[in-house]
Amino acid sequence: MVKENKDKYLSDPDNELMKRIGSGEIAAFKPLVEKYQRMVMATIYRYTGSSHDVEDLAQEIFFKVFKAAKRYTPQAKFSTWLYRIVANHCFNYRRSQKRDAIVTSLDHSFPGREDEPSLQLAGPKEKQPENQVQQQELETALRRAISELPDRQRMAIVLYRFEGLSYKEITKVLGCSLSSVESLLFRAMTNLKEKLKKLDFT
Amino acid sequence: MKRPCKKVKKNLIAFLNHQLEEGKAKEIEQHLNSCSLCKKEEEELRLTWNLLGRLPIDKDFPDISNGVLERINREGQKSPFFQGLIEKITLIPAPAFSLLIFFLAIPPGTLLGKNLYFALSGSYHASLRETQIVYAEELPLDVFGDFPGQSLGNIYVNLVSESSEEE
Repeated sequence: MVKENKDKYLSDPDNELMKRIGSGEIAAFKPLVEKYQRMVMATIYRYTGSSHDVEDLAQEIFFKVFKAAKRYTPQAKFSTWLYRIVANHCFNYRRSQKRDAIVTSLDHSFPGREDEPSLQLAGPKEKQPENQVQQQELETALRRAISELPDRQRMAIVLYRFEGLSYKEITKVLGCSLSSVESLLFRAMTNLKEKLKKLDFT
Repeated sequence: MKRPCKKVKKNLIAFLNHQLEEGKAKEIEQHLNSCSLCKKEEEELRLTWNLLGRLPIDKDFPDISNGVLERINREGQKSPFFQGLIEKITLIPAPAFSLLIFFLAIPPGTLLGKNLYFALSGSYHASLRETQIVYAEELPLDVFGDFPGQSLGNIYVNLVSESSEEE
């Protein structure tokens, strides 16, 4: 049964590419990066709540993937393995941020910064239609609420709500049991509900 | 919290995302119709769930594939010998590697330790020997004469003094 699964994953085209990369064919890495870069950056963006370090972190992640290609043995879908690397890298990033005490003010991490395209497009608040302002406020509140969740709850909700992973896939990414995932997601949603309630959004 | 409520809450998020099997979803629906507390919880969570859906799905991210490949080429040119070595080392299981380091460290460690010991403790040993000689010379011999008769100490002192007299 296990062997069957292994064979199934071996025929996965992404795993085929990894095999070629592992044998030294660097060019085979480009299509893999092109295919998964949006997924990686979107996950980082939703997790960190800021577009600031997204590109750098994504590059580091793909570099890690490349270095791991030589000893990569497919035991699941390539994307699941990649999500696992993304999640661990995000956790490490958060830890190093805390360690260095570079705790950026939350107001600086969300749309409202000069580098955030959504605000640049929107322009000054007085000139925007009311519903556009509301949408912006809602986005800010949501990103703030998500960024205040504990690390694992936040990653679970990002993977489930935004990346569309199943419970089973999340167990593989976070390395925990099904009931842990259920509990992580329930606590994450309850926390979000409370935070949004305080801000009068629910 | 009642047991069925606990069970329902555990499955509520999957229920909101329509990821539950039909049978389970129906069970939850039935429970929600009969339990006002769970129904309220479900409504609030559904609202939060829907609000999350209002975050824009995509953002325009730049293409980083060329940057990644450039970095790979750049890093690949950096001291390939040491990089290869480090990669090989990471493949060796950690316990085997630490054992190897341990055994390699024993000969130089022993040599270095011995030399350092003699270099640093030579003067200390000389002074210790002097103290021992002085102490032995100054020690009065009758200090052993106070053992009670038939005690082991007394017998020993008598035997030693007899043998020295015989000599």
